[in-house]
Amino acid sequence: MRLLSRRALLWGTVGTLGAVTALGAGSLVACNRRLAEADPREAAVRLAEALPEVFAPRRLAAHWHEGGQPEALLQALQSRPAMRRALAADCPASRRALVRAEIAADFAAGDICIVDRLVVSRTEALVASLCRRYV
Amino acid sequence: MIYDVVIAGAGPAGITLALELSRAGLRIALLESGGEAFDPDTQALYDGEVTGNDAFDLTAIRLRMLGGTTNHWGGHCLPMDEIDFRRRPLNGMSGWPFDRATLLPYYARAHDWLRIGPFDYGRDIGAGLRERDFLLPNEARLETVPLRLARGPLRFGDAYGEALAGASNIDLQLHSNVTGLALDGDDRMAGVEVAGLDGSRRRIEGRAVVLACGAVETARQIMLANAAHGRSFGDAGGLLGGCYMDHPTAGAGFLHLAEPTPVKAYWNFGVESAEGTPLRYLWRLSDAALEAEGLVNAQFFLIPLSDDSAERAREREARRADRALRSIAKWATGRPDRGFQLSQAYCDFITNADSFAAQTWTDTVHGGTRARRLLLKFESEELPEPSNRVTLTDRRDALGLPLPALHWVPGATERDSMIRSATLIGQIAGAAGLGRMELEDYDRPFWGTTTSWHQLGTTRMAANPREGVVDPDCRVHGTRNLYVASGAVMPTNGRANPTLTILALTIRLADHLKAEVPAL
Repeated sequence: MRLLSRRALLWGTVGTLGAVTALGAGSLVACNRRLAEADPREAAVRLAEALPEVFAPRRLAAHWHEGGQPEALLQALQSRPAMRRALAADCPASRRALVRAEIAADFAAGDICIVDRLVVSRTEALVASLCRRYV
Repeated sequence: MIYDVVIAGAGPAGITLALELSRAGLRIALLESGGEAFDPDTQALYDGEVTGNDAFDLTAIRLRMLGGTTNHWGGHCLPMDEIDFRRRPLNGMSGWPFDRATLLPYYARAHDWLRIGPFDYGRDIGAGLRERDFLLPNEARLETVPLRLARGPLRFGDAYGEALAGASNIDLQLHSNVTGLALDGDDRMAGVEVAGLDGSRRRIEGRAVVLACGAVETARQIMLANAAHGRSFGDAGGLLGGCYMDHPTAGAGFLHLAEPTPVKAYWNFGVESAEGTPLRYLWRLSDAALEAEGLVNAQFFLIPLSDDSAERAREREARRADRALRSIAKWATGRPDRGFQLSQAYCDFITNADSFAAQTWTDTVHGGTRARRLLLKFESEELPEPSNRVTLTDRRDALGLPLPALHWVPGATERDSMIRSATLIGQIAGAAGLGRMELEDYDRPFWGTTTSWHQLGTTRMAANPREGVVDPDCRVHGTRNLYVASGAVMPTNGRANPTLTILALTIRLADHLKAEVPAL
């Protein structure tokens, strides 16, 4: 007597993979929902730990006023894939790495702005501006 | 006596032309206003007015003596880029009437005169350099490029004085100022009128006359001839004296480095090519980037500049002591620098010995000061604008000739190009994690620029007489035998320091004259 048929093995594998996928996707959805509902203050506090990745954040914050209100700043940050993950990341080191990656991606894509004669990425300007409001 | 060729001006172009023609057996009169040494009275003949960006003096940026301005140049040599010949200036003026390939064989021969090794400007010509010696790998938009230094820097009077004296068919006449062009018929020069500061005057006749006296003086001489003879040689388009170009230079910005950075090729003054030519490395935007963005050409020197004033002062003092020590060493080995004074050099060294010792300790133990901030100093192409021009004034020099006036204003297109170029470099540096660019203040008068001491373009080359002053053979339009050997003929000036191109053009002219003079 066979303990495990080929069909059972196949369906079992598919089921396990499906469950893992559903769990991961569900987590992401939940995470995104949480972030969508997150207030700018909470985001600023989380991003403050990544400020060393931002060049001259005080100077940027003092001179860059194009981002609008905190809600708009947060929305702009959440529209960036790496920043969305950074805001969700619990590990500060991961958060910094993700912010660094987003900044590099901005430069590579030419998404830059000139703030008080500094050539910086838009993410830097957004992060500096948001953090200045609360941190 | 009628010479084959009369050359006015014994700077690098005049000397090279004379020696090239001498090899073909032509009889040459080489006229030099000054002598072998600097003379203030002769130098005063270079007086003139400057308006616009006027923070320089016409008597200071050129030298009127054997060897000309190579007596105080920096020795930087590099060819113009492909794009400089391929595209027209961004303001719609005409460009070069031939391509870069036409000049390549002459560039190679100019290398021999300048003693700067083979004609090779690949990034990898620096002996012993590795990838880690550069800040960034070459990429599609930003290139690291070398320039070669004519060691010394090479002073043509010293370097070729013996050759001139030894050539039986070169008649070098010092203290001989050209005061006019002698006309023979409608379009032919009989020779030149010459005067000395001692009051002597004479005419020197030749089958061809070559003006090799720099952009301001060359244009002035043709203007004086036109006024004296009621002609408009080279001026059919009203461009004689116009389209003066320099390489406006200033700080483009500071690159704040992400990490303290050890010595790189850009500020390592010990780098040489395999055959021993000193090199300097710099950045430029690629031809593709310049075309895609519609920018003028430019080169960027990278200069470590600490934001700590005490550290900067120490480095400055250490460099002063180092220079003093080197000049004492050269004196001790029988090769003294021009104007060397042992007491002054000794004093310079002793005064700065503490900083020298501290810097030497840093260099030895820590592998040199680590740079945290780099000044990007640009030298920009300048568009040929007819309004930037040399004219004659009512004031006269000691020989009774009207003094020139130079109007020079670097344009808004060049300024906007430098802002965009520096921003693009900042973007590339940011993407590479190298650091952040802080742009300079471009709202200062003339956007903070000054002269690079490069005077070019007042007798620009064009096939059409209405678009230029000389034809592609460097012959003044409307004349049969009046030529120009100078950076004055350049229709555009790219980013490159001009001496190598001036010599390449001069050698090309020499080949033309070797074939042409027998028929003149």
